[in-house]
Amino acid sequence: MMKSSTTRRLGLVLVFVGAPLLQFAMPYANWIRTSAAIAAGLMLVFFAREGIHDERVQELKLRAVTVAFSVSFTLTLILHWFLNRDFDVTRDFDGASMAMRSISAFDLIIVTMATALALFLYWRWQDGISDDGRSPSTTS
Amino acid sequence: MENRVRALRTARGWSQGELGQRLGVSRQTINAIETEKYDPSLPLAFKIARLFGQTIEQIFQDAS
Repeated sequence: MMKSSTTRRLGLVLVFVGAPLLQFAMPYANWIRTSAAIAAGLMLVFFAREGIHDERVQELKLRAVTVAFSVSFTLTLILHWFLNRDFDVTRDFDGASMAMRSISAFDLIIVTMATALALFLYWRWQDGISDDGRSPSTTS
Repeated sequence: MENRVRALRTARGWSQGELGQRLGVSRQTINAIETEKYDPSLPLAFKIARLFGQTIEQIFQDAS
């Protein structure tokens, strides 16, 4: 099994090296290809095991991904309404112009995973702060 | 849920990190339990109780 730090590093490399390479160094820049790399990278980072993967980490990750799915799906619906003035999410492309009329599934995963990561890190940081607001390192 | 984890820990002169190590959880998790942001699972509550040589009821009290 891959070590947690290796999985996280692989995810970060995909997001910060792989995706820019795909977008800017390859011929025919293709956002779907790039967004797939970013989505995969963010998923690797989020689902990588923590150094100490205890029950609180599992609880926070589950809660973060639950909230993130609701947030990102709501954002998708709002965006779709602004682009199309309806909620018919099955209509992705304008038939005549082939213009994108909604975000792709990879974009949805990117928004979901980025939100989940932000929530998890924020809650984890809050866990480390004691009642009197002292930083983690000074709490005896 | 109210608990006496902080009092029991400081009475033994342990840091949150040390207690976390003995229980196999992170320092942040110990802090979340002490500040009552998080109620531990039953297996972890048993581990805490065993470590301090007390019963679960002596350490954790229902606030209601």
